[in-house]
Amino acid sequence: MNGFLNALLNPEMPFIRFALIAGLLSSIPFGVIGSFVVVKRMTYIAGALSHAALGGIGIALYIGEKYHVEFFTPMMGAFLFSMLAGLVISMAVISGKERIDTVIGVIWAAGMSVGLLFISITPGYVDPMSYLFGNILLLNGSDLALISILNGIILFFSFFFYNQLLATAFDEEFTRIRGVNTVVYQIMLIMLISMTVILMISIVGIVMIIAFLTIPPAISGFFTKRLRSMIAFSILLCAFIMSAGLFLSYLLKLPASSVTILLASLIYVICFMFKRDY
Amino acid sequence: MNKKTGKIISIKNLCFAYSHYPVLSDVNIDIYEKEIVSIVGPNGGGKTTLLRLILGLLKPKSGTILVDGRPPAAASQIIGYVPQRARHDNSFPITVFETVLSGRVRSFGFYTKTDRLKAAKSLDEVSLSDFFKEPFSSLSGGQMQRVLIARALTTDARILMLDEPTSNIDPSAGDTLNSLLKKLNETMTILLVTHDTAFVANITDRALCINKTLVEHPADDNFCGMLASVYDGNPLVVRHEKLIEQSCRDKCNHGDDK
Repeated sequence: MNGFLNALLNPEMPFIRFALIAGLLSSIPFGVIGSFVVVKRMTYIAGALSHAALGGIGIALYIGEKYHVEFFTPMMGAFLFSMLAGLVISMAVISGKERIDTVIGVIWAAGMSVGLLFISITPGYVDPMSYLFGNILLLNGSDLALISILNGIILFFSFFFYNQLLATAFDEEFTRIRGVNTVVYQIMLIMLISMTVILMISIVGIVMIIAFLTIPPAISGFFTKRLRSMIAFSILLCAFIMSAGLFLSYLLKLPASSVTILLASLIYVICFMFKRDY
Repeated sequence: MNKKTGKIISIKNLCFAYSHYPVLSDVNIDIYEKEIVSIVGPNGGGKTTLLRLILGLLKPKSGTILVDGRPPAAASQIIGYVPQRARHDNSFPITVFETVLSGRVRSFGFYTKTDRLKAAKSLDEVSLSDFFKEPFSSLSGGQMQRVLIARALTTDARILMLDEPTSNIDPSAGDTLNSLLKKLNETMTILLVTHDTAFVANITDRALCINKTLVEHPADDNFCGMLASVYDGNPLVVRHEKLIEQSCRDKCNHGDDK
């Protein structure tokens, strides 16, 4: 424990501090948006958005290396692709003309394929592992700034439109009859999921996003009867899991994202056995 | 039973089709204030489609629908809608009070003190004030139905529209619902879509039998017998079959005796 605290305070090891701050900061969108994902059963939409992001990352890496375009970073590519995928899924959900699972499957597979294709033709060697599995220890100050901005956007929308998002999530048709433009709120929710996904890519990576977006809210759901309480509990739980996961990975010298998710899964299994039934 | 005052819903020459499949053809009906009207008919006959057209969720292919003299979309504020309970996710984390309060949701902004007072009053009207902190998912089928009615009442509605209100509830909850609807009918028009012919015979002033087109019947003692002759048997009863069949037989026999 002392060794971990010393590392946190060591000025020559800022990456551990950055990792802890990033983990704590991201607990907020994980808790807020993850709760909506769980209650709306949108886990696979989140999965499709995260895998679509790899397409943007691959293209950004290719353009960056081939044409030396510096401003188009992999994070920006992920942002654009994830938002675009979010729009396509929103349109499919709203129109109701296409089977939504088919649309999700196409976006999921196509995003991965585009990403891997561009990574394979990018000059030089690109290791896709850090994008697929994340590495919280590689974050720097500007990543933290970006996470904070996205955090602010997510908090703003989920606070000011909480009642509308809750009503739409619970009963979309009734809310529409009340004169609320539910299409706007459905799109808003998918866009907020896209932003959360982008936040998570650098922390847990594309492959493990589904786990982290669903496990803490699912655990909270065992013990809470209101969405508001579920969100608050998820944020606290997320902050705990992030910090404890980082500590354990430091102690055991194992990859932080894997340790964190395994810890979350273990807590889920234990809580599942002791959950209250309402 | 004639309570007719002003027209509140007026449907003229209404036709509707999903793609090229016609669902409703030349439907004409006027519904008056403080009536209780039931829409009955076989599966796929167009009952829920007609309800959704009156709610403004669908647009007619031809013909007109006026609610309080206005197109449905413009009259949504006077309609209280109670959807089928089976549509809701029973594990959704929401309390009874939050469910009722969501009836006051607007496009933007937070709930006001007035919204909360209205929600509390509506919950009181359906005699569920003691449950306001309880999770919606912990209620029985009949209680859930009453909570959804309370949500519809928060909207200052003059018309209450219910889709299959007796589905998945036991007979005693059906009786409670029956009494509640009769009480609400003192101030509101009630329109309900149902398969439950016994419920219809007990409560409504008129029954609209719909199977693509619409035939109107008074809901008298011989209602079940009349339905049997119109639909070649009794294809409407889908729930509590033995109980309802017995109820229909009793009513029809009673009607024959007369």
